[in-house]
Amino acid sequence: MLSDQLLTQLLEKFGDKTQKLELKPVQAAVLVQAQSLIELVAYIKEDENYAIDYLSSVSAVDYLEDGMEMVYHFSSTSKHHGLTIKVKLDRAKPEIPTIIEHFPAANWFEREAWELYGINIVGHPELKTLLLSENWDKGWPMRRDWDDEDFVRFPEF
Amino acid sequence: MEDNPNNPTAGDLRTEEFQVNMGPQHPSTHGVCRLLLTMDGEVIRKAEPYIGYLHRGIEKICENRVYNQITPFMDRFEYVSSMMCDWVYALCAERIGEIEVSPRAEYLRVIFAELQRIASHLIFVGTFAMDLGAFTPFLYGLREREMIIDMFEETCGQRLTYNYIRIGGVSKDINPDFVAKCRKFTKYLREALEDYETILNENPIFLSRTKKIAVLPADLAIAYGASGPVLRASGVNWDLRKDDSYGYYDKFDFKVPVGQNGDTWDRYYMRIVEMREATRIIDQALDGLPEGDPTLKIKPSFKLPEGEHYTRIESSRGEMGCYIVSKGEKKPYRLKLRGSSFNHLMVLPEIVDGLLIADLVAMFASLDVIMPEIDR
Repeated sequence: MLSDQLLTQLLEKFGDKTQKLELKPVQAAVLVQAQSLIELVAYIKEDENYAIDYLSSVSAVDYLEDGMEMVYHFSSTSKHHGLTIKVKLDRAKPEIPTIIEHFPAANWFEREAWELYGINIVGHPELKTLLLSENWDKGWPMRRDWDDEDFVRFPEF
Repeated sequence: MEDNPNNPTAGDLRTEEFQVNMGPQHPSTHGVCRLLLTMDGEVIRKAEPYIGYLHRGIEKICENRVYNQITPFMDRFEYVSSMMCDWVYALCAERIGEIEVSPRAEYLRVIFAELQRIASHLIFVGTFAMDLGAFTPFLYGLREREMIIDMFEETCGQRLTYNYIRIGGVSKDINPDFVAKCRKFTKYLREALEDYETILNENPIFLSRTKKIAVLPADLAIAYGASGPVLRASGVNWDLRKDDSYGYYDKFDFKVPVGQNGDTWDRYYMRIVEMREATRIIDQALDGLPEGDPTLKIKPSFKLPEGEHYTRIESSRGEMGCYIVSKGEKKPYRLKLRGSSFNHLMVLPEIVDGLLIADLVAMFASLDVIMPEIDR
C-alpha cells in the first residue's frame, strides 16, 4: 500500500483532477477524471518515488444509476507498494482512454471491459471479441440490468 | 529471378507468408485454445491467440449466488490448483468482513496450498516433458501426484474440486494419521525429484530444445503482468508469499528461486526448485501445527459489510487475484477473477517471432497456461 505521504503528494500534484477515496478495508485509492487518466498513469510509472510498473488487473463495475467505474490495481515490484485508481464513467456513453502505451498488460483486460460492459476504449488498437463468440448479438452480459430469456436468476433464500 | 531454360517454371517461384491454425483441439495447447500462426516457411512470424472456448461466465454466476455457494465455482476457475482458488476467494471475503481464522486453520491452509503447488508442478513437469517427446516423466509426475490427491481425498472427500478452504476456516480437520503420511511424502518427494533431474537435466535433447529458446526479458514480463515462476525465471525476485505476505507465510523460512535468462529452461527449472522449497514449508508447518478447531463457525448464508478489496495470492502459476465489491448484502455485487495465465498468454505473441513450431510447443508448455483460468 502506498504511504500516506506519497499519496498526499500525488493528490497535491494533480489537484482538482483527482480525489482521495476512502475505501473499506483501508487502501490507497485515487479517483481520477477520465481525461487525466493517461497523465496520471504516465506520472506514477516514470516518477522514481512511485516506480509503479505492474498492473494486476482492470475491472469494470456497473453501479446502474450511479454510473460505471473502471478500477485499476497497480503495484510496484521494486518499492513493494500498491495503488488503486478508479475512473467514474457516464453509463449512457461510457468512454475511457486506453493505457496500453504505458501498461501493455491492460490490453486484454480493456477488451474484456469493452465486450462485457460496452465501455468504449478510445485508442485501443484491436477492439474485437475476446471471450464471447464472434457472432454474439445479445448486448453486454455483465451489465447489472442485462437480461435474456435463457438467463435464470438464482432464487433468494 | 532470371528465366532458367532448363526449368521453365523457375521464374514463377516465389515465397510468401501463410497462416496456420493451431488448435482449438491440439494436444499441446493444454485445453481449448486456438493460435493463428503466420508462418514464413517453418519459422513463425506472428501468433494471435483466440480464447473464450471455455467461457462459462463464472463472474456473472457469482453475482447471483450467496457467498458460501461461490466456493465450489472457485474450484472450477482453475481446476489444477483448486486449493489456491478457494483460498484467494476466502481471503478476500475475510478481509472485507474482518473474519478471524483460527491458527490451526491457517497452518492447514499453508500445508494444503503447498501440497497443491507440488501437485500442479508435477503435472507441469510431466506434460512439459511429454510435449518435448519424453513420456516417462509424465508417468512419474502422475504417480507422485496421486499420493497428494489421496491425502486430499482422505481429508475433504474430493480429488479435484476440493471446496476445502472456506470463508472462516477449512471445512474439515485432518485425520489423525495425516501428519505422519505427509512427512513420509515430503521425504519421498525430495528423493523422487532427484530422479526427475537425472532424467531431464542432463539429457542433451532436452537441453537443446529448452536452453535459450523463447527468451522473455524481464522488462517485457513486468510490463505484461507476468507473474509466478514465469516472472522469476526472467530474473525478477517477486513472490507474493514474501512481497505481499498473506496467511502465515511470514512465519516460515523458505527461499525464492530466481532465474537468469528467462528462457524455457529457466521456467522449467524454477518449478523443480519450488517443489523442493514447498516440501520445506510443509515440514515446518507440520512441526508447528497448533491444536484447536480449524472448522468454520459461520452460518450458511450471511452478509458481508460494505467494502471492496483486491486480494492476490501466489498460486502455482503466479498471481491469482480476486476483487470483490460488497454492498452489504448476502451476495457480492461484483466479483472479478484474475488468473496469471491470462497475462502469460497475452505476452506470447511478443516472443514468438523467429521460433519454430516445435519451439512454440515447448514454450507454450513452459508458460504452463491453463485455459479455464483465462476464459473463466
